[in-house]
Amino acid sequence: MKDYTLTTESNKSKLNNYFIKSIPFKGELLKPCPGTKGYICCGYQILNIGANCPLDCSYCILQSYFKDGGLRVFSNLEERIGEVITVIESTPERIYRIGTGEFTDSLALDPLTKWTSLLIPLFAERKNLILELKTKTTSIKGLIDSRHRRGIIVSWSLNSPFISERDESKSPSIKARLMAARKCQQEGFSLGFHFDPLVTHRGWQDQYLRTLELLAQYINPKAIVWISMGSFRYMPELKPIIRKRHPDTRILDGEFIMGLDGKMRYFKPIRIELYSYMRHHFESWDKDLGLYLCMESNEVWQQSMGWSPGKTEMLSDYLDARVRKFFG
Amino acid sequence: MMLCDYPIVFVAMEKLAEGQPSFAITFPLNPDSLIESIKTVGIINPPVVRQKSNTDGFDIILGLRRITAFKALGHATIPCRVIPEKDLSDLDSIMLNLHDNLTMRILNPIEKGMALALLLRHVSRQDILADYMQLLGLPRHEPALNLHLSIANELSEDIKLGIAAERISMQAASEMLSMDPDTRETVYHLITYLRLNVNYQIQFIELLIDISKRDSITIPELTRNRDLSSLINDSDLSRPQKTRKVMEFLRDIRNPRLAQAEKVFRKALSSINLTDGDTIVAPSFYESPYRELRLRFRTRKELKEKLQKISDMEGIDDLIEPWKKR
Ligand code: SF4
Repeated sequence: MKDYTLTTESNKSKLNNYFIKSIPFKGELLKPCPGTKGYICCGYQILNIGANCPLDCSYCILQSYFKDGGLRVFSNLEERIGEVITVIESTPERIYRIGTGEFTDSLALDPLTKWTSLLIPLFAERKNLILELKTKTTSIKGLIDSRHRRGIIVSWSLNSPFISERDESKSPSIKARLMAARKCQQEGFSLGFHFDPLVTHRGWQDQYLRTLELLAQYINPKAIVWISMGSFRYMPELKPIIRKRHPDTRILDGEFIMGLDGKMRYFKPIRIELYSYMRHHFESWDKDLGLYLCMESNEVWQQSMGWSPGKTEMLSDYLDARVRKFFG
Repeated sequence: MMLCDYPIVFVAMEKLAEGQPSFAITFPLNPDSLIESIKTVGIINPPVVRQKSNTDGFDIILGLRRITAFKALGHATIPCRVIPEKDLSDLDSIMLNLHDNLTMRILNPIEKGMALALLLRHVSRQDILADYMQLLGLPRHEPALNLHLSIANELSEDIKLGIAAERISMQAASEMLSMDPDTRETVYHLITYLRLNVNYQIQFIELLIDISKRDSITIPELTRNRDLSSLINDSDLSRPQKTRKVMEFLRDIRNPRLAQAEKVFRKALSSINLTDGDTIVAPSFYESPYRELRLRFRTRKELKEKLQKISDMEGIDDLIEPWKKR
């Protein structure tokens, strides 16, 4: 068993002295996103590469899963990745949209673990698979060094500068993320962006606009496969943890109600307002950004996006069509 | 030697280290109920004390309440079973006291905290978690240990009395520990004044914290809000009415848009004036897209007429999307 101490080049000042345990993973390596009752899911597949994350965002659900704060990477990924390939090859008619960013940031530990050098050569260039690497970091060296581009989507989570500074304080700034995204775009990668969680806070309209302006300044919309939006939601058990660990956060200020899935989410008209506002500004930048909502109801889709996939399968089809458009 | 083998001796009150009840785990001490009984029948069960080896003083091991009551009755001496210090270590003294109490009653959370604090002076945290938590009926984990130690050590006498008397739940007490003393007292007095049950206590505290954080005001400032104070002090309201109104008031300022939608819905429902017990029910927080219509009818004709009438009613849109009306 191997233990790492994390001091990555790009995140050295913010992330050093994390202790990472390398352990064998015994569960299912590839799993469908569990979705949530009563809302439309994107039909994503989660590849488990590690657990917990050094970026410690105030709103992160991982705080309630991994209370000891330790980071874990899976030492048997290389041995077991074949299982995933077998599944994918056995259903060639199906498109697999696979992401590694569910229980950790996809790239935060890459300088140490070199996940990209294992996964990209195996996953890229396959007809029925795309690998989405979701991150808030600027750790793109492993990506850039790879010779593969096809089937890889590098995506960044973005937020308003206010939320980014206060609630994602261990992550690089929005501008730094976008500069890394631009570099990837220049190097031929397709991009995704995730505005999740959207948070209402004083002046949120102007704040999100600032991020959208930066996005437009750094990124060519033609290389964007999709942009998702999701409003802040949390399991009720997370609230006392957030209050305790991040006493100055403003993310709990909004009007939350208990959703159909038992999670707390903004009162419906507030969500509609958030998405409508964002959609309006996205569309005035470019009309073909592959906008979609994460875990939202048919009604909210209709009222904020002007259309709705109606159910999970249809949203999956919509996103699969985006994949085909970009990767054939 | 067995405890009963030690002699019973009259001990002078001033020799008992009453000022430092180092082994006491009784809270509240409250000797009043004992005074009457002692007056009538005297001391049935003599307290147990430990004779110090280097002074002529005694440590009280069992019976602090009896000693306090006896003293209040003006006695200068009290019959006690005396054990020499060499025969009883501090840890033995704590355990004797603990077992004596546990055989007779269930300790309240403050007493459990006091017992744990005493034990911590002689036993490691690990051993407490492994061997003593269960004895006290507590789960064997750090948060439970820390919570009990904190409520016994950090809270005011008033709040501790509230916890011991079960007027304040442990969950509420745990929330109160994160507040400054002034805020704690404010919250405690309101909870006990409104006689909030366990569920309401947590909701009440959560609402106060949420609003005070969002509006950047302190909880004592928030509770001095003119409308809230007048509700609390409204002598025309019964206690349950007051509780309901205070909770509603706080929910409304916590969630103003939801409150507004609920108001519009209620108004629209009363304006369409359904009869015969017919009604329209909103889903929780309007999250589901479905509204529920409850209709009573006797014939197909009546059903048809009612459905037609309701769907044509003016205020029906406000029942479907009440948040759209500002
Ligand atoms: S980057 Fe993602 S996984 Fe990491 S702490 Fe933030 S929200 Fe959690």
